[in-house]
Amino acid sequence: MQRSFRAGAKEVAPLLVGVVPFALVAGSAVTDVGLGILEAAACSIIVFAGAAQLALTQLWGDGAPLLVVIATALVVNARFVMYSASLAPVISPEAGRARPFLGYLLTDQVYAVTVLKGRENGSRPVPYYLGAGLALWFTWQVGTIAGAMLGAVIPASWQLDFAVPLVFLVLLVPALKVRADVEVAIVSGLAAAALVPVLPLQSGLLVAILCGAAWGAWRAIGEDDHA
Amino acid sequence: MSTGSYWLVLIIVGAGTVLMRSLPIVLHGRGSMPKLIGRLLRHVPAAALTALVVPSVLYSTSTGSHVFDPARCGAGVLALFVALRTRNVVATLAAGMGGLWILAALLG
Repeated sequence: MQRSFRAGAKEVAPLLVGVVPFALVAGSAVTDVGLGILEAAACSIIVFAGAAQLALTQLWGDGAPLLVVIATALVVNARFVMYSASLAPVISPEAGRARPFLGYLLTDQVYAVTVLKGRENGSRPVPYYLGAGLALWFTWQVGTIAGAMLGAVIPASWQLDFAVPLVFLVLLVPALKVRADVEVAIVSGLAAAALVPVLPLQSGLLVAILCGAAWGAWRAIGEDDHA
Repeated sequence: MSTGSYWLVLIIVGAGTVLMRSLPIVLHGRGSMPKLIGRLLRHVPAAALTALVVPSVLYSTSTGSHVFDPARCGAGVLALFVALRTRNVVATLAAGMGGLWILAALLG
């Protein structure tokens, strides 16, 4: 149990290099629109999702209608439904009474490491997920408060945000074991390249993931017909 | 706008987000899932990771919009090569970040 918890925290650690500057930006965005450190901390604790926090804070600061602010943030976070459904077979069977409390910690990074590595080397998925999730959660909270107090003190020119796709690359390579997943990756990668810059409400990511998954599902139907 | 409206946004978005994150984990195993959903979900890990990686390697968002960034692309290709060869996180991080800093300096 402890070993799995530590394994999860260790696996997510390199991703925190990219999470820290993002947290600073998310925290300083809240004070930039004239709110305080309390609101910055509340945003990170209540919402706990960087892209949505930035979007809702900037839209609120621009004076957008509240319905637009809320809808945008929820659309940005809609991908979590897919992550949760994809992760459920891994963590739900072992979760027992903890089930209702696990979802709160779900992020891009924690989803990726748990779904791909949470059962490796004899790890138990639930403590593994909690180790990764809590490590990221504490980093995020400290980072946003620091950002609200000090501003985005890590210069944007360092481009530390690039650490996240780099670590995801290492996770992605062994995940592409079968031809179907290689095709899925090509479809969702092309869709993301084309759609992420242009679709409204930052919905490009969600649509790109759906395109890739739909390709995989469609392909499976064809294979069943031949069987 | 008043601070109160910001808190209202936080509470509604927070509640909606925690529901979206939690419901599938909570409801897992209750009732049967349509075959199509199962097929879709099988490929979400590969689809999600790729969709997260590709735009952040192709584009810089420092100006607020997505701008094609040759330094990120070059560093991304280098990192992919290192990731394929070593499957090592630290080596890939070093190659990718180092490559990005050098290319960004060269391309100005």
